[in-house]
Amino acid sequence: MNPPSISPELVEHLSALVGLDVPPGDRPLLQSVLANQAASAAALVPLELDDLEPIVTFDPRWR
Amino acid sequence: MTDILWLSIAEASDLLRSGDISSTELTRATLERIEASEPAVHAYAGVMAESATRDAQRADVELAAGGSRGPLHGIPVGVKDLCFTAGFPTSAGSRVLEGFVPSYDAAVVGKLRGAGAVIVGKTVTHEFAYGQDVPPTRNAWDHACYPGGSSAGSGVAVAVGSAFGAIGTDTGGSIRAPAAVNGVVGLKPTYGRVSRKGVFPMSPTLDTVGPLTRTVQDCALMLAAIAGRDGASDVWALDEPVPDYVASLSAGLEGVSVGIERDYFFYDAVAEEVRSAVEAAIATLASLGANIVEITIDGLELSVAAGMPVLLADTSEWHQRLLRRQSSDYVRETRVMLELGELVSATAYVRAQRVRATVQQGLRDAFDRHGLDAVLAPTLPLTTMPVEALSVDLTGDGQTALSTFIHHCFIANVVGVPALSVPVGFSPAGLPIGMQLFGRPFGEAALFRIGHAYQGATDWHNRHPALVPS
Repeated sequence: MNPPSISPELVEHLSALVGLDVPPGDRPLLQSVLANQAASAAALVPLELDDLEPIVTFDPRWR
Repeated sequence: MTDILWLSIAEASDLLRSGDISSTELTRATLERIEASEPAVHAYAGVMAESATRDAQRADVELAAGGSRGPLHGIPVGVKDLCFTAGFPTSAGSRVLEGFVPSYDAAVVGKLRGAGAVIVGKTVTHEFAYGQDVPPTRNAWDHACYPGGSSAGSGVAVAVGSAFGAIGTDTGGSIRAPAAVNGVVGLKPTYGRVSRKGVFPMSPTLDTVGPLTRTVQDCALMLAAIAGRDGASDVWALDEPVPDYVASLSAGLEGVSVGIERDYFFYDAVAEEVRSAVEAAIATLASLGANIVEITIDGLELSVAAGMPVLLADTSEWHQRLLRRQSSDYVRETRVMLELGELVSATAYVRAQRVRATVQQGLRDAFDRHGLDAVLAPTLPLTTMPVEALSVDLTGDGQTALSTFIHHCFIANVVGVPALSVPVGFSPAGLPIGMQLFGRPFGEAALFRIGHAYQGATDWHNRHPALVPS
């Protein structure tokens, strides 16, 4: 899977989607680290992991 | 008076109990050292001189009545400014929390007080422990250099003698990095070993709280005091018995197996001076009887990619409301990481948690296959660097110094195992170098045993920085 290309417009749209008003001065750095993060996440997608549970637990007991 | 500042906690404790020194003397000397060293190193966000003096006097009264609470009784310590201290400001290194005064102590602070320790102040942290800003703290050995982070003040205070021990937190190396670059011992405990109650969080499954000290023995003494839940209702620690960490300290290294994973930890980004110091440490452990085993660990290379979406999203979730209310109060670099965390997709998050299970399985297989007690690696691939040369890239995908730090340290948080950083030498420029020992879950005692044996054969931990570096 190829990592998505991260454009300034995409940063703007995604930020709006989650309700964030990203200051203009943050946008170039956010675009850069988001591209890194997207590439890193994309590299995990092809892994065969079906026999492993995610490390996320749910405990139905009342505490 | 300066000499008593370089006593270990164990030595000072013996002298306190024999009546040869008082906590009041130790605390006064520590406060004087803080006053003398702070203009150069800025390790403290706040000094608690009045309450520390009162607590020391109380400790002396109890000791005089034969009521020692244990090895930390009367010992001056610092606490990272991420931990709540009742009635004393806790700012997490951020303008966002300006004026915040907690109404209760963090569990770790309460346990320290219960053990009789004297809390002398709050040590500097990077903003909310994210490691993105440059705090005023400077390296103990070269005041132009990076002090490590995010428990920067804790590492520096212990190194310069303005605390006998200190508390840090570690979500991706934040105890071990300052320990390594300041030449002190630092333990990132097993996840859940020490309660996180009353500590500003980053990630509920990556965060840990632990001690920094000058000796491994002191580290064991501090962990013994702070480990375990803070009462039965404490959901911020795991319900595991606390063993006697001191009992096996001097058991030696016969029968102890230490794994070396060269592909991941001794790669080409490791500086030659670091490589040679750590190789010498490995040879020392072998000469003491340890069985050194060359190993491979499957999945190690996935650890940063698996941990980062979790760290980013978890941290951003906690800051969600603050980021919308007080966006401009954050340092820009911290704010950008918080913005980034909001953009991690739910599927990427769960995928990362599944990959964590793979990394955990790979490490467990290596420990079981070779019967290991520990895996040894350089704590960091480099010594510290001038502050202005620091380049931040917390996403861990670049080739910056901080990215390589995460490469070495994050694995312990991603899989939850303990990791102990121990000084193993200095570069030709006089900058400290550390090795780290990864253990099995709740296997801190084995790490202390190895580290203590190493310190018994070497004297790196007995070297102290000058207040004014030459």
